[in-house]
Amino acid sequence: MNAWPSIVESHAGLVWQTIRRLIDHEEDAADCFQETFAAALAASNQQMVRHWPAFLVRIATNQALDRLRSRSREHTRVTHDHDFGQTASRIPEPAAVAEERELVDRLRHAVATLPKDQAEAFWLATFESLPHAEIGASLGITANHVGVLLHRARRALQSFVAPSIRVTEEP
Amino acid sequence: MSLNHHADAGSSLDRAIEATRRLTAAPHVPPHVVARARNLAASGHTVPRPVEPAPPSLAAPHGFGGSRRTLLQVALTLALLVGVGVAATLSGLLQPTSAFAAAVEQVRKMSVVRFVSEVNYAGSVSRFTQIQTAAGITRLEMGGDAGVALVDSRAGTMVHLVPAERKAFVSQTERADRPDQDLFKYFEAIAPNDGQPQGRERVDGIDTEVFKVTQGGSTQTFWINPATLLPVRMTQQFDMSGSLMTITMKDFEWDPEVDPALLVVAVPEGYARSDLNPAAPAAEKPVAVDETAAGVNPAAQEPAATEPDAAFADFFRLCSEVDAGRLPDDLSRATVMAITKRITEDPKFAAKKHRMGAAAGSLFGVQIGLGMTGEKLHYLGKGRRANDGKGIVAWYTVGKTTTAINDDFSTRIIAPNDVPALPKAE
Repeated sequence: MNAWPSIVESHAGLVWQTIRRLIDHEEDAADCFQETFAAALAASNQQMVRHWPAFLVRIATNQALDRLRSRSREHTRVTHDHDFGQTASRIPEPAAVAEERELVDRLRHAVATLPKDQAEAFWLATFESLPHAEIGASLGITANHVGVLLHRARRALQSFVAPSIRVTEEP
Repeated sequence: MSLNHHADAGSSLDRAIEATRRLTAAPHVPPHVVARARNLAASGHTVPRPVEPAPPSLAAPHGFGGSRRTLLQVALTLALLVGVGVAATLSGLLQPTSAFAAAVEQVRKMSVVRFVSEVNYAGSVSRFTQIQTAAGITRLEMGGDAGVALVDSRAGTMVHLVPAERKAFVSQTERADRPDQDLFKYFEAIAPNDGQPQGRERVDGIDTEVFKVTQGGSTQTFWINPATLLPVRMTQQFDMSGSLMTITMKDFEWDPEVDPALLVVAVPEGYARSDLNPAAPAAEKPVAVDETAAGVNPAAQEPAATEPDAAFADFFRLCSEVDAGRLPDDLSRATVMAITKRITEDPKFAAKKHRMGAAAGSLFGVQIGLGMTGEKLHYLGKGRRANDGKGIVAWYTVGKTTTAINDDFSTRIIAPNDVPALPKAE
């Protein structure tokens, strides 16, 4: 049987979306996309996949977070080359949009600094709307423990994302 | 120039989340990226197994129909099957798992299973052979002179045959029109996503995939044959009054040929029939106790307890019958086994032997069921006698239902607030 091409076709958009939320840089995202499907293919040989969308979202998030964390460790690309947000290279945007993009970049960077289980739990719950029980199953922990991780993640992110000090020119 | 401090941390995080949602909307996937992924399988990666999509939201009623009450009933009914030795046939108690969902599906296609169950508890091992059908019939071969138990779980009938004595003991068990009393019903109710993959392990010469489910106070492990997608072995472990009990189900034969005569739940010709259920249901017996002193609300007209509860209460009645009206000091395994041994070995109690088997089995069933749900059996019988007028002897709560056993061995359901004060030891 060869269901693989149809699995890829059916879920490519979902996986891409999941990855691009975390990784703005297209080449990095494309690599992450390949790594996600390669990992999914390998894993599916070890276990029966009941629900491909959730399965792929979890892997994609995990892969993207790994890449994000790796980039974060490289630091220079994160903070100076704008590998995530590429805000410097974007065409001029309204100030409000630019500010939001900066927020997005800051959030991604902050998530990359979290312990991995907190980062994964936070991202899956917040952006992929996975129930705690399912995240727990993915991480090998209880739903209650997921709640604890989310609490810790939010607390850490709050201190990282804010207070933000914005400097503006007064007329 | 001015500084704008966004000091509201929560608000900033929420804004960042909202911005991420809006600004990272899915762009088009570059076709060459998809093409590369499509070719993964052709470039040396192995092709995945068949897909059985199932929305995660379908996940699981928790085993045995999800009811704590039901868990107890299962434990109780199954324990009743075995009787004295050690509440034996608990093998049907195994709980469900998930990614082995394919195995769940396979089991659901089966109609008969034969297997061996082993109960390892406090250093002793009891071994049984079972045949179960999807129609709710169980045959339990206990070995030696213990005989055979036949259960029609849908009719709620159990017949315990003792060929050596040409005797048949008939009792009513909890009816099993819920997914709880047999392996098939149990697999019908399984929550496919509950199982945690544990890797692979070679069992009985088969490279199996292992899954684990932890639920309530018990842990279940399943070894699945990836070729047949059927269980090769299952175990359940739980703490029972401080001792670890392990139930192992193994040597499965799925859909074997079975002589239908082995599965007839009836008293065979030439067997003397005895009915094990207590003669007087709880509701018919007045409670000759000082209910106010016992903390029971006499005005409350609670429903009678179920028949298995009554069988459980029969344990206390039997204890008093063989000990000049005295109730046991505690319900530890050592105490129960000592009483059981006395009854089974003393010829003057021969007539009570099988009744005690069922009663002790029901006690273990209650303890196990409560242990699995994190509840406890409370006992107030130390130093007391039957019909001493002091009211409740024991009680337990499952969900919102509290069942009490009185000093006259009647049972009834009482309001949770009406239970007596706990002894200091508890």
